[in-house]
Amino acid sequence: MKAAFDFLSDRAELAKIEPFTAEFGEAAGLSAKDLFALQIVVEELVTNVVDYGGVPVGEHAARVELATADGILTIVITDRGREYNPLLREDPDVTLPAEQRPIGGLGVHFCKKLTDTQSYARVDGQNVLTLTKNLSV
Amino acid sequence: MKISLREENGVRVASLAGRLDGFGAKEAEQKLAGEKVTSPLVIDCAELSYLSSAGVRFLLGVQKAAAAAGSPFSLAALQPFCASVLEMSGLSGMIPVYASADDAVQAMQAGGAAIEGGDRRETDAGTFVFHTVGSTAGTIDILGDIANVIECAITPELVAGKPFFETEYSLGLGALGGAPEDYLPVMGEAMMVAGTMVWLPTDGNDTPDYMIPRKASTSVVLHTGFNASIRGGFNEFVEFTAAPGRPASVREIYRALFDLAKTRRADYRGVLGLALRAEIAGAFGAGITKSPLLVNRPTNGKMITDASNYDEWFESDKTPRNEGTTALICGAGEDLTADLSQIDQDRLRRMFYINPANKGAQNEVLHNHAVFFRNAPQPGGTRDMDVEMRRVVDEGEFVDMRHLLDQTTVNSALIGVSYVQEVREDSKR
Repeated sequence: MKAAFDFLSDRAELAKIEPFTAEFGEAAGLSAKDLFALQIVVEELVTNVVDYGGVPVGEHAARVELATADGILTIVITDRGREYNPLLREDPDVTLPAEQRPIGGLGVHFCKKLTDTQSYARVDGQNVLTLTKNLSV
Repeated sequence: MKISLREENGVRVASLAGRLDGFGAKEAEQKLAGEKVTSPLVIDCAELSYLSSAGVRFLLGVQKAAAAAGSPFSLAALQPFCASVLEMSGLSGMIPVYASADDAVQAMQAGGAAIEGGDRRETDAGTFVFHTVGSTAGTIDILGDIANVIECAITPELVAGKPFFETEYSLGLGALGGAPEDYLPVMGEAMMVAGTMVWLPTDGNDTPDYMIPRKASTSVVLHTGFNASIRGGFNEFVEFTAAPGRPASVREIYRALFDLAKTRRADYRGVLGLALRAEIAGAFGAGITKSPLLVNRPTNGKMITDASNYDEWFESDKTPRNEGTTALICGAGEDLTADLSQIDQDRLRRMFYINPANKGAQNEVLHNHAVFFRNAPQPGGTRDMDVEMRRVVDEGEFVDMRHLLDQTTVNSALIGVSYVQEVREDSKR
């Protein structure tokens, strides 16, 4: 099962993530839990590109490719934003009291928690982030 | 994202429906921006289907503002996926999470101004002083059927997973464990009270298992074949003192509360849900000693409470135990002298049974579980049942847990009373 979707650099585009992932989830027979994880991962990463990638509003920002095979979900996010490897970002200290929490970093932390492997490459001037998740049975 | 605001008994309730993502968080921020932060706030998440890191940042912002203003903030009715996001962000231990908005309102208003005076009543059992703390309609939510326990008819399909909530008051039959083959054979007397979960595994060791999950968690699940939960908080906070040198039995305390309710409370329907912090004179416990699974059913085909099976299936005290301890008791009682017609009879039957070891006149049927502590701090100082019980859990030394027989005696107690309006089906599975 495969699907791909393109997102423009525009916050309004984020509303498309839910229907796109839900449709894929249904076609691929994902469990509710796996679909929820997929939605969080795509939403967090695409939001980061739109908000911080520096792509002019309205231009093509990112392509999200989803695939399932042999019980593994693969998510590839390719974006034209400025060079940035989110995996190098240090995990936030989630044990700190609320008052001392830094604002950022949570989204990437979620993506790492919710997937099993993550890798980053800079290819032809684009950021390519590949995540895989072992699906629940 | 749909956001609606209302106020209940001085507590602001914001209901968020839909997705609390980057976009939803902006909407929620704008909607709540003009709100004063000086009164307690609960965000009702019953209709919240999605929570992202932007949503978590929004909640963190609300928490910071509330903390700065010194005003209570909580969440209610989190769905499992949203709860898991909160857990991943490490925030679930910092923001109290209640099972329902009603529970949250009840707890947050009770934490407010203390009420002076009180309604003082002298009875044969001792002196009761009643303080009104809440007006939410009390309910008991029932899951499964006690008949399946008594008839030894529990099958794996009848066992439901009940997630732990910090604010849960419940009793039943259950076990913790990962796989059915781990928990099914050791299900025993269980209770949740004041942020703890305690159960007496039927593994032959007669030693309770006691745990305090640090926070509401989707990963802590009690597997239960029967469970009854008191919901909606407590209507009254009661100080009870027995006559000097004559401790009152749990049965006498319930009887006195039943009789007083008939004249004091227009909303009395013959059923009470109670939580007690009780100073124990002598406890009589009983415990099921084998998991009442269909495969364990007695060969004579009779109920496990039948005289021919009782001694093999139950351990019940002939002499008192745990003298001088402090017990946290969760239970319910049915007043057989009252008009019970407004309560669903079938659901009521599913939570009460006749235990042959309970001695005394049969004008009432009670079902209580208790967890015992030594060296508990002095009671009093608040009129908040939850706070009083948590102090025992935090500062006392855990001793024991039992199904409590009615002849257990008490020197004094703080009692949270819920005047049960309805016995409902527990949908939380």
